Amino acid sequence: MSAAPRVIDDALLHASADDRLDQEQRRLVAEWLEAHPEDARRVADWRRQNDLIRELWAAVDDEPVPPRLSLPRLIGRPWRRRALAAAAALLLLVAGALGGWFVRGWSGGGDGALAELAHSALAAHRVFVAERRHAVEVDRSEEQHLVTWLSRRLERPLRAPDLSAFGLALMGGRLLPIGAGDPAAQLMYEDADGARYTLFVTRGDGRLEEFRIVEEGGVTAFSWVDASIGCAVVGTVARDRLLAIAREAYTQLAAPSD
Amino acid sequence: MAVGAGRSLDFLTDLESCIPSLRRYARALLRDGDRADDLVQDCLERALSRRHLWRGGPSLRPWLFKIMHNVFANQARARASRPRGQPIDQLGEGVGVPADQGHRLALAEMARALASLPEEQRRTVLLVALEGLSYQEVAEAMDVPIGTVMSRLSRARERLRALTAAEPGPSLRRVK
Repeated sequence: MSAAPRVIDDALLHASADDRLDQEQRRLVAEWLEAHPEDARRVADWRRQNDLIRELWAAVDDEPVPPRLSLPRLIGRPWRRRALAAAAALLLLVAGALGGWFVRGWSGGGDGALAELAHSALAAHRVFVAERRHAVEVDRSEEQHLVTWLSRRLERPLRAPDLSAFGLALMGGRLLPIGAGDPAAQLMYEDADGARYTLFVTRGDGRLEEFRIVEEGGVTAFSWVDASIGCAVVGTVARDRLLAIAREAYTQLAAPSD
Repeated sequence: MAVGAGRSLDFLTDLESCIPSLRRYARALLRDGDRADDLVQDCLERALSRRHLWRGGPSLRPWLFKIMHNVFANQARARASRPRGQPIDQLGEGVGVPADQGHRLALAEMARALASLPEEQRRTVLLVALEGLSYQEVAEAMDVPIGTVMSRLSRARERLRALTAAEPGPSLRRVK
């Protein structure tokens, strides 16, 4: 049975040089190469080419990635903003004549649920982080009750993400209205220096899977919507850190409840 | 794939993990650090703004390389009307501390040989050798059938063989 491909074609030889053969193919190619020294030389040369090519640019991996390639900075930037700046200016002129419709479209200013989520989260953040005595409605000492209550009201299994890896401790949370009166949950966290962060959770609309960063008056919200929940992480902090916190919260919120 | 939970932040995580690979490939294409990072930046911005077009799949990289090729082609068209300020042969960049003189020569020779390849062949061999893409992924990234990938790879490798000394070390080179 193993006598199937007696002739080893070039595709297999290339795959051999690139280590993409399974065990059986490796055996067949090895046999072939033993009997065909010219092919053996080719494969050896190709391997050496691979090694040299990798070595030529290996140093790039050791360089720090420049800040301008950081994703948190790039999120929300319209594609080819620089190249299209002139065209944009022209469009804005036209847009003025069309009554502003274009301006919103161009700046990516408002796309429904996600924009509303971000602005509600920012507003709630500003109101409640300023509170000393009533920052939260249910204190962290009743975390289990808080989570059960908010889960029931939002009709989603929620949890309070553990953000201690970022030095953030849960303070507690509250229930809020959003939009036309849908329930939203706000969880508040505090770091060792007293800086406060909020996690704002709403019901997802079941369709969008999007994310965005919005900044208002020095406060940044990173928000996303997926099939099950809409969520925003809000804080007065650099985008990179906020995104890292958001990822952690997202991972924990998305994990199946046990 | 993901049940209930969204993929939006997974996309970001995947995209971020591809940045080193994109930078390396862009550097190999352009041989100029700043221009290469410009290309990566444009590619990332475009990927972010078109993320709704990503259909998911085992690997994001072929899609990203495809975007990069498109961006590169657009820029090349824009550049064609401007004078070139960049010397073609900028070797040494990326060449680390050489183990020995012979090895450094071999590296320089390979860089020169690569630069002399037709663009399509060069991309193919870079995606395979440098980025470790499968032949199927290269086909996706270059938007060609896999048979085309194989023939380009064959031609590229034979040409590189012809242009570089096969044996390690300069002392073994034939003396006429």
